[in-house]
Amino acid sequence: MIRAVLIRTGQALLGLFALTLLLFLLVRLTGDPAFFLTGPGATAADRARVRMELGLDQPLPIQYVTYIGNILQGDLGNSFRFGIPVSDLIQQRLPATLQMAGAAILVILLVAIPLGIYSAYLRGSFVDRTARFIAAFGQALPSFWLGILLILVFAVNLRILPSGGIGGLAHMILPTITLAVEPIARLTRLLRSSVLEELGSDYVTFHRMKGMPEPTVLWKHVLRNAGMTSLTFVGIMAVGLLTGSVLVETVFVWPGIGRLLVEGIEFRDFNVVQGVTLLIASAFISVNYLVDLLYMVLNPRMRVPVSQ
Amino acid sequence: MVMPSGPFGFSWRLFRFRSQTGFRGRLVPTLPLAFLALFIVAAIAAPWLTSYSPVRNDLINGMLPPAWVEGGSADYLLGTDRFGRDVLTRLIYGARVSFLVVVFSLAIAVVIGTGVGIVSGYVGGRTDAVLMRIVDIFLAVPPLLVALVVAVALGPSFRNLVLILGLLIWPNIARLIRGETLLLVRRDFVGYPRAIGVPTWSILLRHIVPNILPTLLVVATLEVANVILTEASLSFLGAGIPSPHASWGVMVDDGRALIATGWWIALFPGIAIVITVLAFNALGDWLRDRFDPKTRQVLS
Repeated sequence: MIRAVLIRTGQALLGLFALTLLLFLLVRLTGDPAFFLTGPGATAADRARVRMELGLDQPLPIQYVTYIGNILQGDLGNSFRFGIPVSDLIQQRLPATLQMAGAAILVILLVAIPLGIYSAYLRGSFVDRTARFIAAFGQALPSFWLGILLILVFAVNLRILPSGGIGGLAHMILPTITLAVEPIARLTRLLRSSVLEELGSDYVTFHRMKGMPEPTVLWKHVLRNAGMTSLTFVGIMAVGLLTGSVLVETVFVWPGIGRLLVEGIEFRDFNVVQGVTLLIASAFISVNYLVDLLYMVLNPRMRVPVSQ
Repeated sequence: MVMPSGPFGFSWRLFRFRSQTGFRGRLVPTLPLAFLALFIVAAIAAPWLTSYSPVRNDLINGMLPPAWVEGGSADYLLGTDRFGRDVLTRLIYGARVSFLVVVFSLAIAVVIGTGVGIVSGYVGGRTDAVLMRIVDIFLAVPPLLVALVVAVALGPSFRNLVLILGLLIWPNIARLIRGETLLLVRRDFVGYPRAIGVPTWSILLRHIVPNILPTLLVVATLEVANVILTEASLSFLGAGIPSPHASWGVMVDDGRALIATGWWIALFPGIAIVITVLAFNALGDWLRDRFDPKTRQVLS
């Protein structure tokens, strides 16, 4: 157990290390970092000053240590476009993103869990065919396009929902649906196959024989076992929503970190791009790590290191 | 396999029978393959299928709706965009862009992924451990974000896009190929030649590679869908194929601001993406179930 945890911790740290190294080297190997960090409008004097301030005349390893030190202190540099620290920008924008992601998680779980369970339980039925249709299409629908279609139907033609921006509950409906569709498809598919597997096992027959009501068998026993497989996915999905929000926020002009990132790309505001990427990617790595740990606690078989 | 006995009792068997040999069973390999053929023909023969240029502006004929809508013209079947470019023409050239991106990025991913996977599985030991840690690192970072950052740092271009996608996909392939190789190494047809001193490269080439081809085909087919979606997303965000070029993602982005006045600009490229991704996913799933049932475990 301890060995497995240590190995997994090492992997997570290595992932973070590789990520920061990638960002660090990208800036430095693809040209003069002072150019990236000041933006296209800066003068030669600006660049010289930045080079001095950031210690870009130092050897690379020393620069990297300084860079990591700054990140650990929450210093992600300044946005050249807004002239304020990137960490402040992220703090302003993060709540909107978390709000949308939270709503999406709720919708995903409420739709995908019953759909996955009953799709397997009523295999071949109308419910199952509908669920499989949703699963197949949901995975093929690009979220940015789905969002535009929803705007066309509900905002442009029917005029019943706002086409974008942040506001009341009505503003959240379309972005939440757009963000939720793909994860619903994946979770439904995953849950369906693991529930199918569980339904054939001895304990289900046993519980049925002793007269346990079907809903109890399904929701208490089958879901608990089948859910184990989906647990990893739910963790990854939750963070995946942050990545997904990059596209959805762009479509709905939602003022979150995803939109911040895309604006950063449009204006070549490298510090902003780097800061948001670091945030989302480290959330991605940490959540994966925590989910795996949780998995080890719940399932003793996972406590043996995989690579052995 | 034990079928669950539900409230409808015996009828399960009937449903199952229908779902395997019924109309879905016949549609699945045919329809995606037909679409695949159409996609490749559009990609290769684009200049001969349409006389319009995908990038040249023709402002007088801008914002024309599709032919069947009032105000539409039979000269522009699916309408034109803001700059008067024919949507159908751009759609066809978009297939070419997607096709080229898929071919090149998968070529990179398959070569690296297969190489790393085979070496890791065959050599084992410390080499395996090091290679798999590298794979883990690649799998630990969110692909879309990394692609975004790299595209911003290097500037969006076809070459950069292909390189980034290739480098992001190979770990998926490497992991599966390694698993497959590990199973093969234990088999007699690999063990015997090894025992009588056949050179390693010969064993790899003659006994390992042919046996991993089915797995490779399945995973590559499924990755095509992944590449097309990622390419479209990156292009939509302005970090993939640079703007005047006809990529389906770029087209959806063009149509986004004009959705209220020119719905056709964003609608058709989106449909193209959905159908293509559905076709490749269906084909991949079918191949997996059909001719290599054992990969089902490795893949999931």
